This record gives sequence, C-alpha cells and structure tokens, in this order.
Amino acid sequence: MKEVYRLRFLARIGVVVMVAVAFWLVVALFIPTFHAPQCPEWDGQLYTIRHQDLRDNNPLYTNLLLTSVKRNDGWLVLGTSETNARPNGNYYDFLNTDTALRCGFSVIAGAGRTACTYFPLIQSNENVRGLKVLFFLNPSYGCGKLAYSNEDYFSRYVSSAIYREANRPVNEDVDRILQANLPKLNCGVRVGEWLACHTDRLRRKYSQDLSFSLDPSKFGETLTWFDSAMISRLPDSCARPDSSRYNYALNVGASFDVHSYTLWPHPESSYRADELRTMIRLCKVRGVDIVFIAGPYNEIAYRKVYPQDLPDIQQVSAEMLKVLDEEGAAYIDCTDLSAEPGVFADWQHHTSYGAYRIYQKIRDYVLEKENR
Amino acid sequence: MFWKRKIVKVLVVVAVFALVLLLLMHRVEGDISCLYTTF
Repeated sequence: MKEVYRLRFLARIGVVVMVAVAFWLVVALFIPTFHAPQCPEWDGQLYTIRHQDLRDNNPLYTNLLLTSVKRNDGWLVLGTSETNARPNGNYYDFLNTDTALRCGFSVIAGAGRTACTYFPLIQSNENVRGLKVLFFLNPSYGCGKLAYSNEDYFSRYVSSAIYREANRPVNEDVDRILQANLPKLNCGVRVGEWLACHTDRLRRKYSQDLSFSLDPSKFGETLTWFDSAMISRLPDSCARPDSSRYNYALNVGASFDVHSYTLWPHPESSYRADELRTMIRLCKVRGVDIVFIAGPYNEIAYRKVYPQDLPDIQQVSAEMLKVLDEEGAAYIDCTDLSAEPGVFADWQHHTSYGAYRIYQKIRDYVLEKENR
Repeated sequence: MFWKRKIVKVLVVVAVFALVLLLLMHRVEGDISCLYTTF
C-alpha cells in the first residue's frame, strides 16, 4: 500500500511537472521579443558573439553584431583556426591597435569554420547587405580530410534545422555544398533536431526575452564589446621569433614535431574551389563587401620534410588564387609569405610574427580602400 | 487536517511551476569548442 502511495505520488508530481512545462511554453507565445536598447552606450561595435548564438541563428545577437559593425564602419574578420586568438596577438589585434586605421575589426573564428558554415547566416539575414568582411583562406583546407566536405565541423557550427529554414528560397549552388556537409540523419533524428530547435526558441522567450526585459543589464553582461579591454590584449612584439624558441630549419616552433601529424595536399579535390566560388557568388547576390585573405602555406617545412608534396601544395594555393581571379573577387595575396622564415608555428598556423606580416598587407589594403 | 493537506498540495503545485519557470529562465553559459578534430 505504501509503495502504491509512493508511485501514485510520484506520478502526480510528474503530471504536475508536464502540465507546468506545457503551461509555460504556451505562455511563452505571449512574451514580447526583447530588442537591444537604442541608446548611446549601445552604439559601440561588438567584438564577437558566441558560436552557439550563430549556430542557433539567434537574431538578438547576430543582428546586433552585424548592425554594430556596419554602424561603426568596421570589418568582420572570419577565419578558421589560424584566426583564433594567439597569446602574442593575431593579425586583427595588430589591426585593432593601429591608430591610422579608424575602424574596428570584429572576429569570428574556429577550426573548420569554412565558408559553408556562414551560408545560412548570409542567406537569411538582411543585415549582411553592405557588411565589410575579411575572410581568411587557409591552403591547409586543400589537404587531407580537410580538402573535402566535413560533417563533423559543419554540424558543430550549423544546426540542420536552422539550415533547412534559412535556405529559402533554395539557392542550388549553396544547397549542393550544404547537402554535402549535412550529416546523413534518419527521420527520427531530424524530427528530434527540429523539436530541439523550436523548444530552444520557446525557452529563449524566458532565458532571453523575459529575463533581459526585466533587467537589461543582464543582456549587457552577455556581450563582448569592442573596447579598451580588447586593445589591452595587445601584441607586444612584431619581431621574428627568438632562435632559442624557434626551429628555423623547418620554419616551425621549437616544440613542434613536424611528424606529429601530416597535411597531404589533395589538389584533385574540387570541393574547396566549389565552396569558395559559391561563397563569392552568394556574397555578390547578398551585397556583402567581402575581401579574401589568401593565406600562406609552410613552404620551407614541405621543402625539407615532404619535398615530393611541394608541387601539390603549390597547386592547391594556385587553384585558390585562380578561383578568386576568375570570379573577380577582391583579395589580399599573402601567399608570398609561404617561404618567409619565422612565419609558421606548425604546418598551417602562423606565429605572431606571421600575424604581423599578414597585418601589414591588410593594413595597406584597407588604407588604400579608405582613400580610394 | 483536510485544509492542511489541501494547502500542502497547492504549495507543491506552486513550487513545481516556479521551479520550471526558474529553469526556463536560466541561460546556458559557455560556447561550442573551436578546437580541431583529427586530420
């Protein structure tokens, strides 16, 4: 009898919980959307937003990032792992501290964050029109598994439910690239993703709209503004790495083992060229002012360790430039840094000195563009 | 005794509703990892 009582009690609690969840989710439909306040203290430029908010296509954050960059005549820097923060500064840190450039450079970067991960945002958000973008192209994405579509990276940065919603009307070129990256999900998982996506949206009515409306300062705490805090992370050195901490024979950091992994070039893969071509065309259609940075490859390391692969990595790099030329895209050519000593920390990531050399090229381009 | 039980029941229901509301209002912090997968 005692057991039955307990079971019945637990069942009742379960029912109350389910009713409560259903009740609040229905109430969520009546909670007004929270918008970023329009006042001088919110007129600055956002430095970055969370990948999670991009993945969910959370308009509160994506709209604020895009409009704040445009309003301040800034640039949005997009890139893969080479564009992640570096301890002694990356190229955008140098750009952000250059007083001759009267604009800020906001950043979104991550391993495997190639062009296709931005297609849903570019397709679905009207605020991309007129946005100035610097997009880093790393030739290592023509090597190994990276030379092909990658479900793991794609699903890390793009929710398939969001993608299906964003790709309206369907752009066939974009769709082809995205389909190649979409995980092959069965019907049950797809329904699950769709449910998760929409439940999350309803949840945001509370965690975001209601919570921030009650206390807007909470919203402020979730934002990373472009301000003096960013500038204080300043690169302190633009000199070549010290030879005690750098292996100049192989053009990598002293602690890096060139045999720890390999990046075999795959010039036969046309996937990255297709992706780049689609990005250029999509940006033209959507009015994005995009400038590509054609990144260098570690020519010295290839020459010493895998000389037989040097022609292939050169072909990968040349193919990248060929696509940019054929499509009439604006780009900053940094491929001549490939054979410069001190530029690379490993096979495909630059050092802070490499970042400084890349910064110099971007700086010249931006100054010329501003004075044009 | 009857009212006491009634009051406890109402309090339990109110507490469950409040708990669910609190959980819904909680913002999940942190972000997606940007590290590399194996090549």
